[in-house]
Amino acid sequence: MNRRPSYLFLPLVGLLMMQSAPAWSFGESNSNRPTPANPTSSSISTGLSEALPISASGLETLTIQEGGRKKPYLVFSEETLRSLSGKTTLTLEGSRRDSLSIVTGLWLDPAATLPSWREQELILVSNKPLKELLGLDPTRKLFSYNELTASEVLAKKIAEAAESRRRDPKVRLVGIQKEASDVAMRLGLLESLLSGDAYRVVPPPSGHEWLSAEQGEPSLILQKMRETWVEKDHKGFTETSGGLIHLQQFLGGSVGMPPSWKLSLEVLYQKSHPFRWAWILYALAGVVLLTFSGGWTRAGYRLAWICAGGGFALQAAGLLSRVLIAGRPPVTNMYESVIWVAFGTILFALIFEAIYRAGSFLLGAVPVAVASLIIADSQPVILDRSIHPLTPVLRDNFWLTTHVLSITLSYAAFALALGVAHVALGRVIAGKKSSETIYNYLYKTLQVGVLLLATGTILGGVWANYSWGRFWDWDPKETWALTALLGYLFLLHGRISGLWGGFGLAVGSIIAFMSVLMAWYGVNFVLGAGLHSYGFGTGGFPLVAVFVGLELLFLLVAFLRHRRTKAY
Amino acid sequence: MSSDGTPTKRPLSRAGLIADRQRRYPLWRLIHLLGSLKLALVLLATIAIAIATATFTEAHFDASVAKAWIYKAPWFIAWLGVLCINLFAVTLTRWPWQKKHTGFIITHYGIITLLIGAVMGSKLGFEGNVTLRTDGQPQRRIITDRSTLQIESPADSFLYLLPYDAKLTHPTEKHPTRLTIPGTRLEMIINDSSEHLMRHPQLHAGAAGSEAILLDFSSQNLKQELSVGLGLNAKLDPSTGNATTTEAPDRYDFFGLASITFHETLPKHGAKRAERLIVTAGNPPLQGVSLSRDGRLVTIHADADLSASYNRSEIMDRMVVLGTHRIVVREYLPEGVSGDLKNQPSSTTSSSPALSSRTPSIRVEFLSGEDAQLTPDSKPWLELSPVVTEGGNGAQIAWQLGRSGAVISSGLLKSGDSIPLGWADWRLTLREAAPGKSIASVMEPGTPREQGGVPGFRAHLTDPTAKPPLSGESSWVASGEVTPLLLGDNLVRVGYGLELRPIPFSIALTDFQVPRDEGTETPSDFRATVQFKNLATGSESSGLIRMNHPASYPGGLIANMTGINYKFSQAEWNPRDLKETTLQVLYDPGWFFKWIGSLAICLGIATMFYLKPRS
Repeated sequence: MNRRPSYLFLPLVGLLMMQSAPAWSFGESNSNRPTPANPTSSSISTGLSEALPISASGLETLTIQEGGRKKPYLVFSEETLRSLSGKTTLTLEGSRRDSLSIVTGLWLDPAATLPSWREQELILVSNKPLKELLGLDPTRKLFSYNELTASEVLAKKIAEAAESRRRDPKVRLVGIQKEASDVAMRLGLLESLLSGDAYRVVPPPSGHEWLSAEQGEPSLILQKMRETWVEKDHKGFTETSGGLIHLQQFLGGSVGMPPSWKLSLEVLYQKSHPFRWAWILYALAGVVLLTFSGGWTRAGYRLAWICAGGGFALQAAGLLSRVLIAGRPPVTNMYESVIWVAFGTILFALIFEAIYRAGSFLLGAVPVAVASLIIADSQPVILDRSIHPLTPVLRDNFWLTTHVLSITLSYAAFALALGVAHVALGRVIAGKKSSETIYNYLYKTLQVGVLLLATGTILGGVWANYSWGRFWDWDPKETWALTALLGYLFLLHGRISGLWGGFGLAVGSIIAFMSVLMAWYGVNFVLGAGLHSYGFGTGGFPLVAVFVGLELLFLLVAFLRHRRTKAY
Repeated sequence: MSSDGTPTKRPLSRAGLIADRQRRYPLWRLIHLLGSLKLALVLLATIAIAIATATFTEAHFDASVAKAWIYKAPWFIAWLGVLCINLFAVTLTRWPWQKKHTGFIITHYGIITLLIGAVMGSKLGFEGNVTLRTDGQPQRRIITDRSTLQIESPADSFLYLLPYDAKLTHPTEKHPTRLTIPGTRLEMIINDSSEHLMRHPQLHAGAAGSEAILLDFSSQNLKQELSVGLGLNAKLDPSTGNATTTEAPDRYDFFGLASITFHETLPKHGAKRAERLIVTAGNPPLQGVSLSRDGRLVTIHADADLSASYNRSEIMDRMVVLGTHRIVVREYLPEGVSGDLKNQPSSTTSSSPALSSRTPSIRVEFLSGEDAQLTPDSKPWLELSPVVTEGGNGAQIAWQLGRSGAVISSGLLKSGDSIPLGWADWRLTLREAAPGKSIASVMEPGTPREQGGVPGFRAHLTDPTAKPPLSGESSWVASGEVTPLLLGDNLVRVGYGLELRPIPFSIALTDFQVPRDEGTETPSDFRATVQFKNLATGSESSGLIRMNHPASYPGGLIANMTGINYKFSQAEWNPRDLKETTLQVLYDPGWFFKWIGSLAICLGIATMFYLKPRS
């Protein structure tokens, strides 16, 4: 009943090891852990390399199975550290280390680092009430494993959360229980990292579940990697890592290794931060537009186009990468939809600019896109950027493409309308004469949104008819999409009837966007009810509340200013 | 548009014609009034506010309340009716139509068509669900989402059905619901409702030699309580009034985590059948179990010739059988425990950081010998038995707590005594123990600390025509059960629960598969293969139900386009029992209008916005 897999590849392993193996003589016991690095006897110790571990970049394209898919080790390490600490770089023992270095250290040197990993402040506890309950310093965000496991209160809360989940596997934990269970997941993650279980890098002889390197012959390579890592033998480590990658490809050939272009693409995507560069370019476009805002001089306008177009191309490339990596449209979680809405806002702005050459579309779109992309980039805990397999009901690219893309594009059009309304009201506040043209632009933007939202909502009904077995049942997400649609219809009908003019339309575009925010964010993060539960999350409420507050303030100022101008 | 045009004798312009007909004909005036933009604005705003409010209602109460108060409330339906009139009237106000009106008219009629489809669907169709098992019988009935009341009249023994939902009607003493029992002068009065009806055990006089105990379990941390009644030699009591009696059980399954049994005398347990060991890495085998230095491999030496190594992480909490050895690795302590704690029963905290000898250890349950009592999961148990006391009226109960084959603690209990069980923070209190009694259970609302239960209501019979008026005893009528109500000689059986609807065919589950994401237990799809059998012709056909891909019966393009067939979609599954799946069933004769209307709305808006004829 020995469950260790038996490989027929021992000669190959030997071959691979010999290329880089002076010290491959630790015998038949493959369970010896390397002894801690001893700085005094280390042969290649410069001052720096003593403090800092060597670079693990040789492992970047190693394939690892985690969370239901195979991904590059680089992505795994960033996702892992992000779920552990909410960050991708940490300062440990006074030196800054990236996720690749930390996650590799946890793997290859689980016991040797002094003080131990369990003493390092690695684990994120962000919730203030939980910290108060546990008697932890509320100003700190990161805590060590030992600090947290010493708390009996935490253990009790985790046990309560586990009990609720055991009794009802579908329960949605809230409050302290939810936070405690998040911390428990992080503690468990660290345990699985330190035990080596998390590093599933060996394609299995049969079945779909990959094995950790300890199992079977790859353990010899692992042993060598540990040795070179601890001794800070950079050359040896890189060679051994290459050996592991080769072995992996050899073993995995028939079981389905992801194609190498996909791995390279994902590494490139992970390293290049296309969305960050996109918002920088968008912001540049905005600055250029403002600088030339007296009258759109030709050169200035063209420069803004170039900046925005460059950002748009980068964002499109980033989104395309996600599509190719995940094999589905990039709108399956909050992070993706925020990126996609930013993209759609710029897309519509560029289309309108191409037609009307007005400048105000781009000027309106830029703040929306920049703000969305910055939020997406800076809130990794609330907006999870990792690519996960989807819940079964969402695994239908036809409906994802038609329903979700049209709904999110309608959000984008309404976000553009929000931006254009700000430009228009900004002029009112600045005391400039407002032309009817900009209100016409606003009307046209709203039309795009209404068509897309109506289509998307109805497509959602048709999809629900197939997936859930009914067309419409007043699910909160459905209902809020309809509420937003009715709100915008109200706005447009009131404009047709002459009940309000351009100013009213602009004010309405901002107020009605709050219903979009409710349908988009509120149902999933605030209401937390209904069938769209796969999108539920927590966090970000203060951010949204501040946004809504600022918008109301802006409307108030615009309103007062408008009355005064009218009075003269 | 409907401005007061100036009177003119010339051939009327279109605007003039429209203004003119309103002046002349009251009907046109009415049409223009009903189709006015102002009314449209009021409708849009009120509907938007109402449904937005409903989502908060749903978040605070639940979906059925939001439906009863708003979405399905008569005033809301009526308001949607006004919307339809407004939509229709506004298209008339544009008469005579011009080419530029195409999109406008398609859109507005599309909305009306969609709403007609919705009404047809809810009036003529139904939604429900059916739970099927691969080893179960074919189903011929669907559980709908409509709560109904079934009353069997004593006059003609017919079953009378009427839709009724106690949660929504919310009857109280002050505002009871009164129902006349058909064919009699009796009335049923419903004057309270509960969402948490459950059976509570009570002691009743039983046959001689019978024995019964009432136990109360409580947990502070979980804020939960539970009452359990156990009995020996219990006999079935005649049903009396509101108390239904069942044969008292002598065992109780405690949330599937522990077992509680009541015996004539406490069973004996061997002391050494199960043993807990702490095996430290690198040490010589303990009871034949050793752990590698890095804590990854567990080796079992069953005898001189038989030994095997296992990956520790893979056998955690699983029973490994090798020869006569049975081993369960319960806990991994990467940092180990200090020497003096070795071979001690476990405390509940894991890997105490204070004791870091840095040698990994495992906590092992070692079971030796063949014994049927040792279950793979070795649940903890509580065993109780009556103690025969000479003439004392304070009956005593002996108890022993244990796990696997070993007794952990034991003692005696009097009524009112309480002991900790060592199962989380659950405590046991003996409420009552009585010889010569038996257990009966009474349906009543649970306390807030008791979880679960079913919805139901409290009802009794009256005869208002009798002098003086007669009134029967009150009973709680629980969903899913038939409850007898008595008044004098009259017996009225009342059933309450979700309506079952027969379908003209049977459906059976032949296969159910749950493929998983690679390397995880997360489902990637659900695939149910079902067999339909037409009850009239006997012809059979099979269907595959996947996520997003329902099976329809009968199939075919026409049936699928009109929705006049039954559509089965994957709805629920039971992770603990993969032979079972629950399907959502939809019969929607309004489907044709829904999708035609939907299409019209989308095309209409697009036409209106982007295909304007050049003026």
